[in-house]
Amino acid sequence: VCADCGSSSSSWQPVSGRGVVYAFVVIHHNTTPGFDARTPYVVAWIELPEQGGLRLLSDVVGADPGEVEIGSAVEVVFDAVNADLTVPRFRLAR
Amino acid sequence: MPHAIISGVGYTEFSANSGVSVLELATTACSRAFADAGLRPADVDGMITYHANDTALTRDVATALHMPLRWWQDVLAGGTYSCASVGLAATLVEAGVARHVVCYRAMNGRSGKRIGRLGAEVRSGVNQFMTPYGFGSPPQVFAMVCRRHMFEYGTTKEQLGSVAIAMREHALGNERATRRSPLTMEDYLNARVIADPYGLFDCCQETDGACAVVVSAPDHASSLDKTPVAVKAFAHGGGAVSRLPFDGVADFATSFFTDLGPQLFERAQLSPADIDVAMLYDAFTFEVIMQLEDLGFCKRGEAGAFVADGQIGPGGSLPVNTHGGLLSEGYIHGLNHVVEAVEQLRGESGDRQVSGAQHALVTGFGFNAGSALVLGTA
Repeated sequence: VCADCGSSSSSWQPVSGRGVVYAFVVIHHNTTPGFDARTPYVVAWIELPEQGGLRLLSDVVGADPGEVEIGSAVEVVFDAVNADLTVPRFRLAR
Repeated sequence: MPHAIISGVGYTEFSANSGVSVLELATTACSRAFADAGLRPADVDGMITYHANDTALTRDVATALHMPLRWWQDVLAGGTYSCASVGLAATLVEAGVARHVVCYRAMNGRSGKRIGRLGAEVRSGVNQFMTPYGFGSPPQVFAMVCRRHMFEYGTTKEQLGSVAIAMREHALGNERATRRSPLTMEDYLNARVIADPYGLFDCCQETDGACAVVVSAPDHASSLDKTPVAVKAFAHGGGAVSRLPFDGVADFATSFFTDLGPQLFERAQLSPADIDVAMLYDAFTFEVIMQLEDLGFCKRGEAGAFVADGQIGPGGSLPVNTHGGLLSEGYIHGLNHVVEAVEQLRGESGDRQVSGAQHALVTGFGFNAGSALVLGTA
């Protein structure tokens, strides 16, 4: 159900996979199992260019935390965690 | 004539390990609040609590204290509901549904179920969109909006530190406070990082303890030994939202308090300048800066300088969280803010008393929503 208009008529739409960091944190004190080896790591709200204010929560991988800033251009990478689960993550755009 | 009065408050010791059940914490705080209000348990016919599946429910407390209730309510809610619970109690009293309503929050927040582990524990609902990224505990979530404000307005780490230090300075004079050693800016800046921009002293500490507040019909004032405190206005804002925290918020640097504040002050027929002491929900330092701006105490982007200038500390122009707040007194999910406001308005705050305090603002804040109260000397 759409959180803005209440419609249940939703469908998948392709997007470019590009985005811009709107806000981010660098997590040093990890509380999620399985993330110790990655700590510190960056989690960000990423604004998609397809629609104003449309944001996705994800992490920014493959970069030193010091390289990520508000306004950084990022692009999606798909992480096949296992046979059943693929997670979209983002990296700094090349 | 106010909607209702606060006739009594009660609390347990705040600690890292209470050694007793949550039910015992709840019954202790409630019993002390009843005694403070000059009431027996059987006189109190309404009961409200808010919780995160970590409490003794109203039925447990009412059974233990032999209370024949006319209204009771267990609300699944976090810091958003601290002031809303008191507002709901005032509504029940004004409607004549109950004569005396106790609101309590009881938690073994450190030795039992810990709020800080919320993100890691729950994989259903919105958490399925956070856990895969190692995200979800409250400091991580709230650091996002702090970062955005720093970006837009140049708010600095030292200004956040000024909030932490002001809370600690207030706490030094409060025997209830769990963090009571002096805190310097050097200590603050050198503390370990939790979720950058937040370090250890930007974050409140999970606490074991309970608080209770009794809301009564206004005519009970004449039978009180203590100064009655009027509930002058209350509001609950942000909406009931089950999105990711801050998802859908157009501008992270501001909050629903910009809508809630004008409603609140209009109902109270007061303005921010009339507030003598404020208890602003401070699970994290930046929340104080945000609320000072959103509630109209400072212009947008100027609250950082205001706190750095010592204005919210002891002797400042707007003392904030004179008990030390959630940051230094303890995290009883904001109901301890209501207790402190009542004691300030009664003139019972000892060395930390704000001289002549007549109007207090109290807030609660939980991600996308929150609530607030204006209390006054009746």
